[in-house]
Amino acid sequence: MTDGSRATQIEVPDTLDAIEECHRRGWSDGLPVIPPTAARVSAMLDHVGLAPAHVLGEVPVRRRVLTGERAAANAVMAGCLPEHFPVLLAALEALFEHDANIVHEISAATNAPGFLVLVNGPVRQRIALACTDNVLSATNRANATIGRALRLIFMNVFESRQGVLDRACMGSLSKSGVCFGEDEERSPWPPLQTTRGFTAADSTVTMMSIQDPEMVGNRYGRTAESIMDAVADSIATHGLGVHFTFMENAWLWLVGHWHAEMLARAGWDRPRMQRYVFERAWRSRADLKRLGMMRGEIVGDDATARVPAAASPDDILIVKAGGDSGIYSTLIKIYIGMPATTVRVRESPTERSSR
Amino acid sequence: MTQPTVRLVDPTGAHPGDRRFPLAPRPRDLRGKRVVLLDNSKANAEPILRAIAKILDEEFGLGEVVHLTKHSASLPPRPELAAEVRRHADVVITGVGD
Repeated sequence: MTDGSRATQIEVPDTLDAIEECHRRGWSDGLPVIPPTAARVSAMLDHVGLAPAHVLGEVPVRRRVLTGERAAANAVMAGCLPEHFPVLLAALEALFEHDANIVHEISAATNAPGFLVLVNGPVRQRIALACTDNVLSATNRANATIGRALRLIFMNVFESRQGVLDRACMGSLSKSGVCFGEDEERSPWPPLQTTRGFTAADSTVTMMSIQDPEMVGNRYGRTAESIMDAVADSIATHGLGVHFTFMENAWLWLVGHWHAEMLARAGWDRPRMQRYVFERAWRSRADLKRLGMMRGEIVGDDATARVPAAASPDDILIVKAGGDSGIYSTLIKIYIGMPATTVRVRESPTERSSR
Repeated sequence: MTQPTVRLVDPTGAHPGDRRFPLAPRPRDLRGKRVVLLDNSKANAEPILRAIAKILDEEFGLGEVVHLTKHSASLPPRPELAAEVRRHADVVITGVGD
């Protein structure tokens, strides 16, 4: 589809003026951007063989269309290199494949979900994407810029502007865009994409809307069960259960290096871990009412009625990530809106045209 | 000497063309009109819509009042629900009640 209109072009005297012009026009997230010059935008598009007017998707409730050119311009501004662009395009494909109107649900919410671009497969090495030390706040260019590009597209193309169609009350750190990879090389379990219809040789993006991560600091537990109990306990209290009552929640457990070691040494595989945590991640209905997560007075069997934190064990995703300097895991709530959706990353124009 | 020039590509969103949605014709009065209260699924949507319908009924004498609920506060109604609205409504009242 190539009926998207071409972007207009603006002329400014030099590069520093261009950065200021981007701020002035409200195109920035507050940090300086790389000026989206016609040459840089073309290089981004040429790398993936995308026509400028190619329509990547439309957000009907916002009446906005994302073209290749506009996606590329925002990627340039975020600081992406052309080789990062296929990962960004995969994240957008996942979004449009699920439901483009989810853009509105995610960004107009008074609650403040962000989004996570989780990358698997060989593309991680090719773009030097951090998967281990400091994984959620790595200073790698790929991690920082791919997430940022998505944020800029939400703002500039989908009109998710603060106070207008972005109505977050408190905001969140992850709203700036989070991108990282699974530490497949040191994981005792098969990489995530192999549990979602792909092979280990496939590069994939698993895109999801999330709430801010929370560390699970089990440093002294001596058993696998102690680690999983800590994760289940964290799930049961995380954010005191926004939407707990809907029972539609899903969770991403980033298993830290030493937790993974202990679990694997005790013979735990992913499905058993998912089941163990699922069975223990619940709160009583009385708790949810007492703490204002649910309406109404505490009545009848509320004290013994269990409200599970997820719909099924499969809704607890398990991924190995992070460094080996300490004994931690991290828990991420997958916010209702954009459930974890996995698509293949098409790195070359040939791969793209073979769709 | 000519000033060097940087040419920027506008990164902001494109409008998907001129597909305007005309407003439905406004009713001249509400007497006997069938009203759909389209609840956006937020917790307080129902009380506020029912209160509005009550006031309108007292003042104008409405016809049938049907209460329907969207599956998501921030997504458009599913086609089945939109069809249901069309079937029951001369007038639709909707809004957010968070």
